[in-house]
Amino acid sequence: MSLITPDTSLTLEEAVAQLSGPDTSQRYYAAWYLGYLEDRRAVPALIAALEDESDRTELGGYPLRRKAAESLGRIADTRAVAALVAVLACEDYYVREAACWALARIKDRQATQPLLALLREGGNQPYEALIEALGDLGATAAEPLIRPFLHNATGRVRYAAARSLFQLTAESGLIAIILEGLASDDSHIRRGALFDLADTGHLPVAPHIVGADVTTTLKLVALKQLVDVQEDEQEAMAVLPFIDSLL
Amino acid sequence: MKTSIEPLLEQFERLSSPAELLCVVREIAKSGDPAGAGPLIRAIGFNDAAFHDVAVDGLIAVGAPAVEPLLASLDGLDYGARYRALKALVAIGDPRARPAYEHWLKADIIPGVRCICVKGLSRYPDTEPFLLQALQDSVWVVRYYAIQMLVERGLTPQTRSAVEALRTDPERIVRLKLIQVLGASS
Repeated sequence: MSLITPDTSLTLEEAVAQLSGPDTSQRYYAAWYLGYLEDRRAVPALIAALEDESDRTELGGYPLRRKAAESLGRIADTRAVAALVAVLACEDYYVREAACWALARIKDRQATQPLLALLREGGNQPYEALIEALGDLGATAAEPLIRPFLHNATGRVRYAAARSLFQLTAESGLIAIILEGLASDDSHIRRGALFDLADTGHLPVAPHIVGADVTTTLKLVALKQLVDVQEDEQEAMAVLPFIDSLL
Repeated sequence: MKTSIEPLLEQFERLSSPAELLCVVREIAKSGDPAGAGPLIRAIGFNDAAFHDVAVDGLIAVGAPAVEPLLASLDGLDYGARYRALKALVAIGDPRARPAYEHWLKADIIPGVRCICVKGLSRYPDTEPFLLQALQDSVWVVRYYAIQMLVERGLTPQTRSAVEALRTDPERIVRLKLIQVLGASS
């Protein structure tokens, strides 16, 4: 979602080689860069990186696996689904979170059951990403499981639940819940709610995005998201005047 | 009723409470006095969004005398402040700013800055090559905006075919922009 263009000159082949090289930080950078390139030829190397054992944090986390999962989501190739489903069982919370995010981007229905299983499992889970993935996948079976999260103590989880339930049910009352987040004093919460609103695809949210207390750059990215999730061309066109008003 | 600028400049240097400072910046902005350009340029760089629009409007009110200090400040500003400085320059509309638009359209990594440069350049009849270059930008919003500006100034056969080439743009939003401004593909 970044609008910043990195200054880099690595070729795809060089980055793939760097991904299995000796230097941990170069491997991590390569994993990020391959996601940035969004080139499908990087998929097998990134899938292999999901099983990396050599890059561990002091707390036992797997930074390279996290970044590789994220980049597989950016490339959004269905060949990665089975490997991403497998790391939903990884003990690293952030690997599970990145895998949920990536599976949401790939939108392959084969991920629905494993994601539902993780939600049922409970405990310390990346609920925000998990609930958003189930909404993106149109997993109607998830609706009764997600609904209790509308009362979660964490705002971001509540807004994610409202967003996904809207995707599954189109109940207009859910939009008001996300608008609470857009009015938060915390800029991170406002930013999350901004994209939750865009993800609903509900056209009447456009003026709320324009009027939100966030940077113009973020508003533009959110409005573009609102365009991209529309199925109907005329409805997508209806967002353009809101973009024009910001330029 | 014109406010005398000296006490305001003195307060700008002395006050540290954001609320009080904002009141002073508002007054300086309202005055339109060229002596206020320096403080207003500093205010567009404050890490507090409340100052930004006020300061930009103030610089526009100063007009031509603000152009040179704004141009001199561009290099040293962070990209957010540079965006606001260029925005003020575009609104002032002074031709001395044109080389800055040409430079930052190429040099700035922030698409918003490139967009504002497109806007500045679109006013001049002989800037077509720059606008055609913006149609090839790597970020959608710059391409989107370049389409808008080229259409607003009136398409020539050459710019029309360059804009039409974006019918197959990878971003749906850019393809929709073409439909919005030129109608469905002929």
